[in-house]
Amino acid sequence: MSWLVSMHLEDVFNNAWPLFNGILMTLSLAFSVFLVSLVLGLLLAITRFRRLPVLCWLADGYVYLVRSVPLIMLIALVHYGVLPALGVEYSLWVSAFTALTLAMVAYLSELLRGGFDSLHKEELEGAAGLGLNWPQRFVLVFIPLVLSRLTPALVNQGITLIKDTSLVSLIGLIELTRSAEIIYERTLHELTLLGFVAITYFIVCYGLSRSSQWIQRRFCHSS
Amino acid sequence: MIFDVQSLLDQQEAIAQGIGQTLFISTVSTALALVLGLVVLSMRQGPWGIVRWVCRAYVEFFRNTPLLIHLYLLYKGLPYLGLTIDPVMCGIIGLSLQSAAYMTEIYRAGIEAVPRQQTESGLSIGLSRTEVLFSITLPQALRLILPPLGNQIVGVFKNSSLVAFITVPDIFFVVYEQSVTYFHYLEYFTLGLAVYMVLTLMTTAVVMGAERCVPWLFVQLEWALLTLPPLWQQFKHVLVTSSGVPTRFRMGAALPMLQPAPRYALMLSDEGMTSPLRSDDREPMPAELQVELTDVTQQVDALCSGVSGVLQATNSRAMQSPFAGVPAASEEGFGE
Repeated sequence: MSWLVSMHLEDVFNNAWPLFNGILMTLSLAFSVFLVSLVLGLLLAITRFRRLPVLCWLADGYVYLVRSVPLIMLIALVHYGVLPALGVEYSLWVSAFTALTLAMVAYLSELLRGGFDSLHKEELEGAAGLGLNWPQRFVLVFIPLVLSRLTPALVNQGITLIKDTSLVSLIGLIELTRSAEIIYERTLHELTLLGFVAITYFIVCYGLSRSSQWIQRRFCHSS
Repeated sequence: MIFDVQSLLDQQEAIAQGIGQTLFISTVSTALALVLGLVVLSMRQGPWGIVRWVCRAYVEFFRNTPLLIHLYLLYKGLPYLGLTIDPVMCGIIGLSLQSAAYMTEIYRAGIEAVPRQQTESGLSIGLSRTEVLFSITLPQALRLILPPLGNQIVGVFKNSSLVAFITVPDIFFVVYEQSVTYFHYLEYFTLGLAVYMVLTLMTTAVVMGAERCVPWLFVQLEWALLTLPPLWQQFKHVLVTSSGVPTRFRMGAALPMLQPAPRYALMLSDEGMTSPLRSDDREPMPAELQVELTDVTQQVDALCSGVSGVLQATNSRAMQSPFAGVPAASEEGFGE
């Protein structure tokens, strides 16, 4: 049993509460970012799909900029550069949320625009043939269609987001990675804590992807 | 806030080294990951259950945990195993392990999109699994694989910024250090954005060029291999389409034949490899070859429907080949 003792599992048990808070912070951050950026991403995707004159150029430029820069750069930029310059009150959560949302909106809008582009001609014409005007067409027909078709891709993006929240430990927001860091900086048992963190991320992300596959198989026979 | 160019000029050496570090780490990791992905894929489709399971676990682990944790585990965990390695090496290992997992999945998705009948017909004409992978499945899957693979490569360049967390002085490290420690926010964030945008632009350009060249290179490679007799002694028969892309058959394997015979010539030689022959519609085929043709036709008539898939495979590749000017036979609706 000496190997079990040498793994220092007591580090995890003694710090269960901070670690649990870290997990909660990671999940709540990811969840709120995903919800907000899904809505904004849809708006952006529609703008780009409809080629609304000036707006779509701005949207294209924004998406291009964000997609070509590493997320970590964006987080640093928002936290140290943009938000202080705008005079927003210093808050780690707001910085993390803003940076992640900015990035996610760009990624999701690219994904959703692909979904809109792949709508069949019959679907586009059918919706118009029902006599719906274009906002109605999007809300009643296209968005539900695209969202249901892109569910696997959206879940993947959500998983990527959960993994990417680990990057906000750069600015010091205490989510799962950062809380583990704080603990092992004190106890110096890095491997134990990092192993715990890796397993936790794995359980959450793998569970999410498996359950989405199950839901897909169970409920979406059509596609 | 005024843009202070001097603050950038003061650190130009560190900046140049940072860019070099980023380029070095991401190029090496990309190359390693491309190869490792193929290795893992072939192991994953191999005959041993345990190896398959290990490969699957590897892919799932790296796809479902953050890259930051991989880097930390390597950087802080390896010393526990008595291994102390350079942070740059850690970064390269971590990046390539992580993106190899993604690349395995990309390769697999592309290959699984190729209908199973193609593999089966390849095996039925006596090619080994590796030969089927490289001359039938992969060329077709390539068109599906390349775009997401390109995205992944661009992703490696962006993800390389995470090595700054394990104290590698790459460009993000320099930007972060200078801006946060010395308060040159405006200058260094502008620099960082510009560098990464240029890097992404360059990578995208290279990847797009590669997407156009790789199918062509694949055909070239196949030709080169076919014209190396000693290496490919076992392939005694060569089937050549009119568009110039050869398919190989083992001696003694059932040879497929097609109804619109004039477009195809079958080389049957006892002397190892012979130079491939191109038949033209207008040119009547040599009499002795025609004899061979009918012979083989009778012999494998029953196999035709299964095997035509392979020839179509060869043809779909031919359409992208340097011989694209010649109309591909699949347009004539041969086979089934």
